[in-house]
Amino acid sequence: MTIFFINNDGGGFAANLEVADETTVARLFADRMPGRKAEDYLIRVDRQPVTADHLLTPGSRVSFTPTKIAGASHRIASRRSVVHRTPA
Amino acid sequence: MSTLLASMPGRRLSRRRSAKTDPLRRLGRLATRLQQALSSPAPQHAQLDYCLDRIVGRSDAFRRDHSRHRNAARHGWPAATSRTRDDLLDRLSDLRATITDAYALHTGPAWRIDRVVSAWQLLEELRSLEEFEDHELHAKDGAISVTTEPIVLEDVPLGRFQIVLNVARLCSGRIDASLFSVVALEPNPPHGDESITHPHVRDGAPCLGDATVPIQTAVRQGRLNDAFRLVERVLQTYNPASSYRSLSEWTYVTCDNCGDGVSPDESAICSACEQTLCCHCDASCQGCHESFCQGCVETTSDGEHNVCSRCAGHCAHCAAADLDSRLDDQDGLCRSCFDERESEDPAEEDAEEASAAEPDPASPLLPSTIPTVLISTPTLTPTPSAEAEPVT
Repeated sequence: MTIFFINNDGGGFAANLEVADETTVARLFADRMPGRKAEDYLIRVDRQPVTADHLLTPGSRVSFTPTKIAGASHRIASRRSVVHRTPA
Repeated sequence: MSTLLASMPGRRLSRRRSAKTDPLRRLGRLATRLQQALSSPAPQHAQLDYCLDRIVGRSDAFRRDHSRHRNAARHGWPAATSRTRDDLLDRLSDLRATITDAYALHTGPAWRIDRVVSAWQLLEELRSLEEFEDHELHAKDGAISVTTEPIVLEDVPLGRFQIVLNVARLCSGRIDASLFSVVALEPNPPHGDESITHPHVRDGAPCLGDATVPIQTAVRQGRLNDAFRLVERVLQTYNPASSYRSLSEWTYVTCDNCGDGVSPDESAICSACEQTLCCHCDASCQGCHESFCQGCVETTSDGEHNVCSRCAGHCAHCAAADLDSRLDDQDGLCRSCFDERESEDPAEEDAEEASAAEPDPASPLLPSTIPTVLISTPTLTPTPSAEAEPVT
């Protein structure tokens, strides 16, 4: 069956994906995100949070979004750190 | 009948009004506008105009900060000079990033359409934004915004944030981090810099870090919900390695003397002028032990202690400052003058000591020997024979 798979990690992409019938969310995660922990991702099917054993159906919209994404600052990171000196 | 109704002025007015007020229609119009923007890349000149505007804007900001820095340096204000220098370098860094973005835009692969998005799909995306706590669509102002839940990072409450997608910018062909701005609804900036409302947000511009590329991809593919969700995830994450201000320093106060940051627990307030002081600029008075800045105390003549105006007296000889109570004990003299006076009259003192220590031959209770080292006056020095023989 075909599902619409969205991976918001790394470069991020969305594409139609062929998966076996009765594929669960946990199975899809293990296949597509090897070495990653499911608890580090917001996993949704058809925009709704689901459990790991949720069965995918044809046309399901599955998205994996990291729960933590490191932001940055434009400047050199260490340059403007406030100087903190301990009392003499 | 319907034709008749449609031809009536009142009916036309009703239709027009409903088109303006019907939320679904407004969404539909916005979705159509977005679909047109995402289906055709912006003309090259529009992108060039936008890049030029950004570079000029940042150049102006750099020029303003440079002027402030120059004034601070000219007046000899160390704290202000340090602060404006930091601001200047920030502006320079922003300018460099803007030029780098512009260069990448015009030298990289042409903007391509990843996936043709239908207006219907975009309408669905817009409707899905209802899952956020609060969301607003301003088709007229060209902005779509959602509101996050209250954000707390490492026990520092930062409040709720409004994430705004600038539709007008999107329609002009810009698909980069500048599409989104972030407004702090209950701002809790760090001490000394109100432009920072989040470790990764400055002047309302989020620095999206690792989310930059997936957000661009999401927007290009029309996945607006994902794009907003990614920005929200960045706001919910703290990256200490690259933040405008460390959260551990969020509650720091700035020393008014040297400009350094200091924990409130370790800061002091000058008892005279109420300046905030770090531990290194805190010149405690030796008399009352209260905190003062360097400008509100005098240094004692030995250079080792500070005294405030209430505890200070002045030496009757050299007018140097010293503790009033100590001056009383030293005949109104500072330690240096007192020591100097003591060492200046050794002959008189020695003579007094010698007369007190001179042996009385009539006294049988005198010790049999007197250490000659006590008598330093040459006239009173005993002869070598006397020194060798005990006095009887």
